[in-house]
Amino acid sequence: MNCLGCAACVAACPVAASDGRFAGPKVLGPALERHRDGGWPGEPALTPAQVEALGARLCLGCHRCDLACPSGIEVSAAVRRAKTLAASQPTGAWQSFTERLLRDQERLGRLVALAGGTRRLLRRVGPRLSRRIEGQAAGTLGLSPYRALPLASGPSLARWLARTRDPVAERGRPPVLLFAGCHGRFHDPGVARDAARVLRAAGYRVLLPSQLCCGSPALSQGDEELAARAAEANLRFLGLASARFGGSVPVVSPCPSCTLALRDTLPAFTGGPEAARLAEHAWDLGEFLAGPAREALMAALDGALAARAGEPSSPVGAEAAARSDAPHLPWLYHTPCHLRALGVGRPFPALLSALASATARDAGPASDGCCGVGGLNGLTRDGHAASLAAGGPVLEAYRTLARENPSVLSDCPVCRWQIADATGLPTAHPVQRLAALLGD
Amino acid sequence: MRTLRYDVVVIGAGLAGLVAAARASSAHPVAADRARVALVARSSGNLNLWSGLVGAGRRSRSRPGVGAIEFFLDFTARAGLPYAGGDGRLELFSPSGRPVRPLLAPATMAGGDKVGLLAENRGPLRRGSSPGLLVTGFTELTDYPSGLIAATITQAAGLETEHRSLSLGPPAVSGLATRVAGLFDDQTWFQDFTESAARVLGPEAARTGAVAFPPVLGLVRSSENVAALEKALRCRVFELPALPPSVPGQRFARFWRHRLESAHGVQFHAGQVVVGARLADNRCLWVEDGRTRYEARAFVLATGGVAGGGLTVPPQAFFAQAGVAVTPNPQRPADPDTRVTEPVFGAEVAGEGLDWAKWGVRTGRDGRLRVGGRPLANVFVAGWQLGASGAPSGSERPDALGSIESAWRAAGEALQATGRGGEMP
Repeated sequence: MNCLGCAACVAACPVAASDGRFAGPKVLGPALERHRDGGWPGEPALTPAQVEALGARLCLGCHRCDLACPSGIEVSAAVRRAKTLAASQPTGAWQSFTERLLRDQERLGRLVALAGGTRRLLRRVGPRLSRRIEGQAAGTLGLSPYRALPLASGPSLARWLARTRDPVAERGRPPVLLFAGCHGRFHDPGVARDAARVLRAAGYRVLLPSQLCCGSPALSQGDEELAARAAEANLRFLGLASARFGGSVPVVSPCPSCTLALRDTLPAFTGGPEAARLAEHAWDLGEFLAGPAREALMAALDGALAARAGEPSSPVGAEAAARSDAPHLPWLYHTPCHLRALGVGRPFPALLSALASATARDAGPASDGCCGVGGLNGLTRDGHAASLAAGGPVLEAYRTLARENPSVLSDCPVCRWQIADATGLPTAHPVQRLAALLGD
Repeated sequence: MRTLRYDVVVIGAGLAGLVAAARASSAHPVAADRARVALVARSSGNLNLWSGLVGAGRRSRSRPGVGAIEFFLDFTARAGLPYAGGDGRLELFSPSGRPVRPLLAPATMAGGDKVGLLAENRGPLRRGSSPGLLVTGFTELTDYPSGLIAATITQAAGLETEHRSLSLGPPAVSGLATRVAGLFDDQTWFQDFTESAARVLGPEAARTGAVAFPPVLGLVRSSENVAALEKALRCRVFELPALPPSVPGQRFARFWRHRLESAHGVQFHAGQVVVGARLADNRCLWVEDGRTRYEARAFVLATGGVAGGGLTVPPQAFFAQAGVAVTPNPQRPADPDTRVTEPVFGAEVAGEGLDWAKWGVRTGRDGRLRVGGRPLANVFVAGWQLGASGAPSGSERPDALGSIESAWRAAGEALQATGRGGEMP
């Protein structure tokens, strides 16, 4: 490793800036790798407890260290290896069960979906009581009781896609595979539905292939085995779906963490030509809409806006204002760390600015950082406070705009979750605003 | 391969890359008509190591590249990080406390103007006179030798100094400058700090009339914090520069990037290494990072000096692609492993007797890359990549001013090449 020890990664790290227990990316990354690769002759191997004591598991997995390194070292991958070592420590049965549940979003997602009916009923009975019971349940599972858990509404994504499909219009259209992510499949299908709406408006045939969690939560909790299994399953599913159309169908995800896992992280450690092929066809939704889909999308939006202008009354008022994605409300854009790591720029603000539907607000340079939630740490009972501290400057910058009540647009579901919880501002995925502009 | 189209693509996100992107994207007052600019960069350059001072080098301090300096001062003020200087009058102190004469300095440092301090100092050169400057350090910031700095200032500048080391108090922070600076952004904490600083330093500050702090008074709120401390201590307050890792350099990267993204629509493709390019008819058509092709009408190459490397092309691979024959630099045999980035665009110097760039690409006198003896029409080089040839008036090594000037010029030429040069700032 060409680490010069310049500490640019430490300067970029939101955890090192806020949590004294964390030894920082330089120590946990390149420095520990040196011990691993070629320590002193006869030196005993590092133990999980030693690495744990350096705070390895506090890493949020934001990848900011990678982008800061002037030597091009993948610092976060090295820290991830330390995290995996730390996570290999045996723990109590209940703790290991809850940790496992958290990093296995397939199971957690199904559990949350199963509980959906009961929760809806509870909320009807009494919001405060339901909040308390849900908090208790979350706390028992090791999740933070102070997080407002998402509650899916409307039909499931698969059902909605099937119901709204227009087989005649779809004939001959180029296909895209929608990788909805756990969030889109279990917790908030509204975002994935809007992604499909917008992709369809841009002339694509949207398919929902079989899929599992992308593996990114497992990686962020130091479970490489589970992540590799998820990667293999997804490679098979997406490969099969793609093969029906000749094998080079774009895989589009509204979640930057999913795209990052499919495109960069997993191929790097599963290897193989299929993984490389998937990486080649994995797109961030914004990147896709601002890239190959741009012209058709803009034409569709222009058409929709022109039609709207002719209507006697545009949907302005209390009802529209209640929806966080109402197109005329002021907005500001929060850049997710994993979108930065993808290196695709900020496609959605560019698209939205070109539409000039409503003025963008700016929370200043302080907002240009990590919101603190990263991975899953911030969702846990033990990690919630530290995640608020890590995101402190960014969240404070958004709070200063609270009076204007802008809608905070961000591609990442956990960023939205954190920002909504900590600032009380309405949040939405930027594609929801595009969908709102398109109308029904 | 996916393809993105821009008017100007800047490769590299250090000082030169940011300045080039700023000028290229400022050209038109109406945002919709501005050049579409992208910045492709492996990292955020080495701004982490930069003290924030812009030296004048050996150039005349009275007439440095005026357009470039004016543009720089204007843009950085709009970005929220004002700079002072440009008129050749700044006299400050180096990170070790020795007098330096930079051309530009962050406004938070400009209060450390030596002439002003000497003038304000009542009887600076007589023994036993009242001290002219209180140099403070923080006990937690262990690599900032405030005592040594104070002694050097007295010895080298004839300015009487006092020295005080303050403790930052709870919460205990490590000695990392960035972390300390983060603490100063916390307004509640800063209020407490200001009160205790007024209590502890008040009498000495009143006597000296000026207090110097390490350059860690906030990653974002440094200007506001300096003003608040001046009010609380009722005297001149400023930051001294420090050795890396440097908070003023980090501030610069952060404020400029934010401004470029939020107000100029510049797209940052971070973490991307340019590994190839396509040349035809003495023009560059695109560069690629292995996954994405960035097409543009003009390119600015600002990939840095010895530690740069946004553009690492193993020469063989590049030649195969570009289809040009190139004479390798005899002083630096082609080595695919080396992080030195020549000869990227297949540049060569056609017998102009130019000094060798100490590192980086070789260009003609006009700063352009040459292929087959002809300059590339739409590739412009900026910053340390130019090596010594980037310092127009013969400095031995490239410097921050050379980066600003060459980037400003390169962006102007790039705009001309895109046909948008008519409304250049």
